[in-house]
Amino acid sequence: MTANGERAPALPGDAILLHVGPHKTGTTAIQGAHAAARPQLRAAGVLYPRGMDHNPQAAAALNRAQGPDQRPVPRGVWLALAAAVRKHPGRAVVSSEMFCEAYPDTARRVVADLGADRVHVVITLRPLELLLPSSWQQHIKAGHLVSYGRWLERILESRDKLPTTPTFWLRQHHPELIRRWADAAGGTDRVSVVITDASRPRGLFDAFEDLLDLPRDTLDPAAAPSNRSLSLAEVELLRWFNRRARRQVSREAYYRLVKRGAVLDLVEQRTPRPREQRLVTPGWAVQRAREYSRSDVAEIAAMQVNVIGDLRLLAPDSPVPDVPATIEPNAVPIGLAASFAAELFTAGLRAGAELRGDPLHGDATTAARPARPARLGIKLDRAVIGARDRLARTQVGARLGDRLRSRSR
Amino acid sequence: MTARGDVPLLPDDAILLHVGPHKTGTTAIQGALATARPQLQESGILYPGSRLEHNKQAAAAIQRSLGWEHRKVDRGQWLTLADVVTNHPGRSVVSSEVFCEADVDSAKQIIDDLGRERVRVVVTLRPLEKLLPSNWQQYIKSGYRVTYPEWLTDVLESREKRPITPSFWIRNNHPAVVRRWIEAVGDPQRVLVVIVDAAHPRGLFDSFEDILQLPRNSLNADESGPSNRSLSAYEVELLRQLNRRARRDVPYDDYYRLVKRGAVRTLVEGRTPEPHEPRVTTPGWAIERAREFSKSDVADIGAMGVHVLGDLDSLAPTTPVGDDEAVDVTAVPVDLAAAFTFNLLEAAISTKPAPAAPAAVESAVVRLETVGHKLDRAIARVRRRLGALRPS
Repeated sequence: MTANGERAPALPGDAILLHVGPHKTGTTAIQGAHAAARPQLRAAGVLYPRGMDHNPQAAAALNRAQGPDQRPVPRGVWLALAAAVRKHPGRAVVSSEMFCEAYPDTARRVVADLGADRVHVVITLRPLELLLPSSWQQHIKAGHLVSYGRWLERILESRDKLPTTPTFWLRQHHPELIRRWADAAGGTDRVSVVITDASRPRGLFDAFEDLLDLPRDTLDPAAAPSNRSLSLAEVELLRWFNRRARRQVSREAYYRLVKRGAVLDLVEQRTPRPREQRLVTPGWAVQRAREYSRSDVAEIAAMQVNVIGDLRLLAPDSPVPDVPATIEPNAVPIGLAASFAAELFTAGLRAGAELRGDPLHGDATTAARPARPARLGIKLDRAVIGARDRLARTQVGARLGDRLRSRSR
Repeated sequence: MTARGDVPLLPDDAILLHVGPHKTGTTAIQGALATARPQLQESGILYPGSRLEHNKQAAAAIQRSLGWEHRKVDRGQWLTLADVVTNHPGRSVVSSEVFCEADVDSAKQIIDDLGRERVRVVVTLRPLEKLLPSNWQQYIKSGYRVTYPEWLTDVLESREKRPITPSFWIRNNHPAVVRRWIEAVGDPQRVLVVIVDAAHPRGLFDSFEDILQLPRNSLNADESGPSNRSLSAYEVELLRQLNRRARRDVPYDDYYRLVKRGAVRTLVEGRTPEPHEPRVTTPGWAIERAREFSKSDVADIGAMGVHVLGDLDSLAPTTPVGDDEAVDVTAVPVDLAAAFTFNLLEAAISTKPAPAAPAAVESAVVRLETVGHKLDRAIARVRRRLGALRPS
């Protein structure tokens, strides 16, 4: 364990640092910092393969779906990254929180693909109680409807039962996560655990600089766009919208228009009002989370992994908030409601034609109406989309045709 | 039951032309007439067409655009209706609030088309103060962004200047509407003013029954249609704020179709406001101001020599005016926000393509498609070559 100001020992000169998350532990910030510092990393002999993060590659390695169409990423995407990293003689960093969901076999294969002798796994950890609100928000952003109170009850009831969010404990059972990756990497000495400390935000970046033997301040905490969490009103509005839209909006439309559309727009464009409530975890849930955390701290301390930062921070002993239950507001600020509605309406109009298929098969009556710039824009949009749709169809047709021809031969 | 007020005896071949104005129970009476078509026919009365009202034909008659269609309706539609009505030997009723916007010349033309001797004009009137919230709502539904107090201030300042919503005084300067139709029909005795009184909801139906010499309860509220409730203060404010944000990003025809006829209609039909949900309230000062207009209107109309059915004085109520302020909405129920957003998204995604574009756009589209096809062929070529390279 290292005290403040002291540098943690660097990894070997050809180490492949495999950062496996888990989610909501500052991964986006650390990934953004690496991407922004690519020239300095290169100068220091450290490879950070292209992209902001390596989520697509991790999805390929785990045979997972990713992106708007939720299609599995071809395995070649992962193998190409692994090859590039293996070819690089110096240190390299691969970072994706998706790796934390790998089952033992997959984790072993990931390590083998990168070269077992060079891989060093880094796991970033935050107190469980701080992961709860953001994890629930993520669940709601994925289209679910469960209230925070019920979600907490189900998640915290037991770590063994399959909870509402099946991946939650796969990601956030920290001792098991460490064990999985220690097994895969060939021993606890191949794993470093970085404890993030809310009172020392730079600590996380210091730790990566130390492991990679980089000078201080190579990694900039502000490099990644900040991804503020939703206010209580915002996430409740989204949850109610999900209730209303359930089974009526396709997965793809939801991903594009809501998750990557209106919600992202809210986060980026809207500033919650000063008095707007944040999502607060009730006292009983904090208590329960701390029970898990205390046993985790003891367990991890006994594992002989390299811990950077103060492990005890994972089980805070600050006073538990005097909040008996979760708050479910029944009204939302009108500006928020209108912005959300306007965003989804205009986004729906832009995308509607595309999601529906070919928009140009309307009737071809020629009524003379005044041309307006906006209408022209939409027309052009639709035309482009229509042309693209036709393109796609023809490719499919061609592929089918080829197959039929080759069979008849 | 006694006849209400001054009911003139209609000629056997009278054409009753109901000209509105808006928000005076027009939809109710039109629905009643449409539902009663078979019974009317038995009494020799024609209510032409198969729709509730004759708005399209009226728009064609006064050569005005209707709703989102930026083109004028073909005048032939009106002439066809006029033809049907003039060829019917008995009485007929034609009803559309669109007629109230006709200027004197259009009104004269309409009377000529129907035959001056046969036409009797019906104007339905309600107290101005009752028309204010529903008219403002209507404008918000049509995409306006003005707040209720701002709109009231602007509209009630004077009847002479052009307000933010220009149609308001064209429709609702009641003496002017009545005067236009007197001039068009050439005789105040051929104009009937029906006063709509909130205290007697059946009064409007009774009056039409009296005019048409129909037995009581021939005309009844049409309950079969979808609900046409007014919006709550929360709903209309959410819509207004949407207009502020999205109206300029969307072509007007799409906006009208998808928001007014789409998401708002779905909201009105699908949602029941909570019991405590406030309604749009008119501030006391605006009611006072409206009553000033109404008082002089009562005197004006009373001196015109038209037939009045119902209590003309009730147009200028004397009930105490409260010191209400307009509701200041800062938050809306989360279920409303979610439902409205979903309705909008659904309308947007499921929208049919707008009618064909003007020539310039059409040619641009064709050009893009050509480029698309070229790309298509190029991609196909590349794929073929790649396929040839691939080991089999």
